[in-house]
Amino acid sequence: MNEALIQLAIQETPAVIAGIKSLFARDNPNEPQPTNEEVIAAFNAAFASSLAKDENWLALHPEPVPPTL
Amino acid sequence: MMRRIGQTLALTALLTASILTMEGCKHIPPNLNPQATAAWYGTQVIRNLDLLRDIAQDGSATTPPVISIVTARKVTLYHESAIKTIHSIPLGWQSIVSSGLDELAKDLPKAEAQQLGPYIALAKTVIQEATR
Repeated sequence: MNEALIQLAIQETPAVIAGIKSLFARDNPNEPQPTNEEVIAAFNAAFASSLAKDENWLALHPEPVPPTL
Repeated sequence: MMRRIGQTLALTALLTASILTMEGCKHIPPNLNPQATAAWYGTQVIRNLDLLRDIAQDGSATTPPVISIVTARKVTLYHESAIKTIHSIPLGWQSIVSSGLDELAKDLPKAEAQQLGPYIALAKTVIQEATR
């Protein structure tokens, strides 16, 4: 049980740290805002990397074939 | 033992989801045009759907697994379809992705639906935010 929990904690740690950082980050009105191009590029990059992860995982975990009689 | 792992997973999920909900509530930059605004919301939703997919895949990779491979596949297939929709229809994906998420939740075994519940709820909240 401990192994599974430690493994899960390690995997989730970056997301938790990012969330905590954002909680304590203060909005600075003088901070430069992202441009339209930057936001659209970030969207395309997020889509491409996320889709690649799906495709890789699905390739490694194909649908189980039902046993033939 | 499995029940305890499941409870711990659900608690971890709830904590992570709560923290990331705060991140999801960040204000949109005021200087963006409509296309970039749609892209900004699309990015937020993709990140939150990534979280749902990652916990399903990670849960299926633990020893012993706390999420079945069958469920992780269902979540991944939904995720793939959802992000393709968001990318191809940046101004009209919300109802398709939201109803797909409802269907996914109904299609999962009860115990696993409960484990993934906080992530599903988080994704729904961010989708609703993008719909406003």
